[in-house]
Amino acid sequence: MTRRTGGRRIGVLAVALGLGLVLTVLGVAVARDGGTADGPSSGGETHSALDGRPAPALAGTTLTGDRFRLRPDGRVTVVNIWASWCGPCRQELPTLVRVRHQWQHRGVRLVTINTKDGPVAARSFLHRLHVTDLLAVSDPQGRRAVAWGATGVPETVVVDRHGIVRARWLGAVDRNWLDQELHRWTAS
Amino acid sequence: MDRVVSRRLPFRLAFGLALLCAAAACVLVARGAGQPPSLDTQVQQVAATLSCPACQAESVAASNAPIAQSMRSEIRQQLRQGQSPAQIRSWFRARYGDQVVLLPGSHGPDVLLWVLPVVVLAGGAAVGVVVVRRRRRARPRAPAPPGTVSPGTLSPWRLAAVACLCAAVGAAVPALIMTHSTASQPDQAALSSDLAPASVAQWRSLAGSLEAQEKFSAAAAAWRKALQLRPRSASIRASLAFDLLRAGRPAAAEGIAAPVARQRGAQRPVALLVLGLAQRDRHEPAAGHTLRTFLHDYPHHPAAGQVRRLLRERQ
Repeated sequence: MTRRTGGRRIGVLAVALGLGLVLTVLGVAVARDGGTADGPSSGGETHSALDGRPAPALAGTTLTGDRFRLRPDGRVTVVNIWASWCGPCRQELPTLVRVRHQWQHRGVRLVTINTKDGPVAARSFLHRLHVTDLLAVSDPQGRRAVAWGATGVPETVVVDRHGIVRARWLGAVDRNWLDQELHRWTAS
Repeated sequence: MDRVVSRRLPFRLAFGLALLCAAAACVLVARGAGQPPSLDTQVQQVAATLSCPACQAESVAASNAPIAQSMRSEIRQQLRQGQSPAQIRSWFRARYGDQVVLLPGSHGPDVLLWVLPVVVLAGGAAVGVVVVRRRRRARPRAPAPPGTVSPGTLSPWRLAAVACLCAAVGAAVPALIMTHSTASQPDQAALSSDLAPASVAQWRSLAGSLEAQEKFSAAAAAWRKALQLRPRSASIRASLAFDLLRAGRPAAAEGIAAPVARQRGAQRPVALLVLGLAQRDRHEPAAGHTLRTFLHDYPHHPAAGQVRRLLRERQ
């Protein structure tokens, strides 16, 4: 009788241990997934670990062969990451050029990173789109895009006057969103 | 007696299996400890601990996505600069957040992933001890004949089997959690389809860019993606075969070029040329015949002069 009671207690203990384990596993899994649950479902505005932090370094050779180094200069900077092999980039580049034209006299500049691309293909792409004066830093290995926390192309990052990352858009950029962000950060 | 032996058999099997695993682990550790791993191996090792941010449940080591290739380049560069794997992971975490690291962290709920196996192991051992004590107390018995172990007593075999079971559970729990945390990312899956090349034209363009950078292996991977989307395209096949040859993989190039070289069409000259050169690289006797067929059928091809020189060298 004592043996049977002891066996039952151990059974209850084992079941409780098992249940506790299952609940813990579920709890940890839910907690870990919570960090990624606020991303967009297919492109759009997103948050990244760089938000509110100083912008990563960006230095290198541009498609025109000049040297460039990104430094905070009191202007809001729109950083766009693109490639000639990317369809949405073809769609958004004219928008970006128009935004630059509209905002450049109000303290906004456009700097782009031409990632995982060859200079010949990239220049030909810009030529086809009649874009002649785009500041594009070459990034043949994609390392500059990674330093900016990119997950693909195109991506657009807004950096405020003081060089702090403020906003990010995945996919072909939305004109209204960009205007709204530029209003906000040129005013602050 | 037979019953006792049959009861002991599963425990012995479990213990034997555990010994085998331990021996295999020792061999792997000993092989790894013999010489420092190459840079490529180190890159793969670090990349295997990072999650590809544009993929579904794939590590940076396993993914062919352009962003994963870029991340591997960054890892390689940082390793060359003397950064430790932990420093590199920390660099990526600052840009992509905690979820980019596949190893559990040392704060928040991730601590449980480290603590849980120890708790399970200790709990299992405690349950084992309680069981044995209760049984001993309940059934005092005459000493068993030497060489046999009765079902109620704590034999070393049984203790080892319980320990193995607990360790297996302890290892399986974090593995399950980590699999779950990387597999359940539908947002990232949706993103990758938008942000990676999706059409044949885009893959063609990417392959062309990679060829311009003389990255023939990566270009071949892009051509393969294009071929998956358009499996009957002779021009994609010919380009893939050419890049495989230039990437130093003549056997694969030969397999891709051969069907195109057998058919009439605009891609036949390139396919025939790549086939002949791949066969030549592999010292196959058919190489001479293939290259002569190329010269016979396309005597004015831009590569004809070079092929003639190759054939003369061969003679």
